[in-house]
Amino acid sequence: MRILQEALNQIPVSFREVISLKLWGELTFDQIGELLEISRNTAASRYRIALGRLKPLVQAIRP
Amino acid sequence: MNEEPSSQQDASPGFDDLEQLFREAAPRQLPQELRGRILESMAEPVASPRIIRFPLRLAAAAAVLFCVGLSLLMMHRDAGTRALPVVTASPAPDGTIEPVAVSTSEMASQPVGPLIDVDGRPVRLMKSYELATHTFQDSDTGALVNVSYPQTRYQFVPASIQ
Repeated sequence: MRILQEALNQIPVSFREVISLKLWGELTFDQIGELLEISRNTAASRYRIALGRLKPLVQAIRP
Repeated sequence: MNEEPSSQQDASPGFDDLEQLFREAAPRQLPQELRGRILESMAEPVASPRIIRFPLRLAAAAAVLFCVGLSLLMMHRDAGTRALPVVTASPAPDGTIEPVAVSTSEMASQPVGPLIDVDGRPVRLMKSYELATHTFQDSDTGALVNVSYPQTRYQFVPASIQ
């Protein structure tokens, strides 16, 4: 958990929000879009970008 | 709006392992910035727009025209020679029309997603179906015109009051 949190802290808040809502809040992109007042496509785009940034971070931090 | 669990849609090919890693490490407490946003949304129960932007402006104009047309038709049938009202709006310099009053009435609501712990309080996201009514005032006569439309709203609500 600490590793993931460290990785999350290294990406912008707007990306962290989408990751948290999607993976921990189990919301759909439509619901995330409504909540954050952004379009569904923007939510999905932020999510994919965030995952793309998190992947190397997690791989680098993991022992 | 799609109500399917997120795991059944919105797939992100190539990131399955990473998504699974995060899901398994779901924290009891959400990140601070997200808690702040949720608490903020709980503090603002009604999120109705105070200014109608372009698409809604078109819908509002169409509704006003429809109402006026209907009124004209009814008056023509009933009274024939009565003075006919003309409803005109006064858009702001930026092209928006501001309603003089906004109200919403909830028609139905249902829980969405799991219970979330926010600072020790169980909270759930609720999806509400509402009828929003915007009241516009005729800039010439002062007459009020109501425009209603259905809308969906998401709101975090403490589990204790659901």
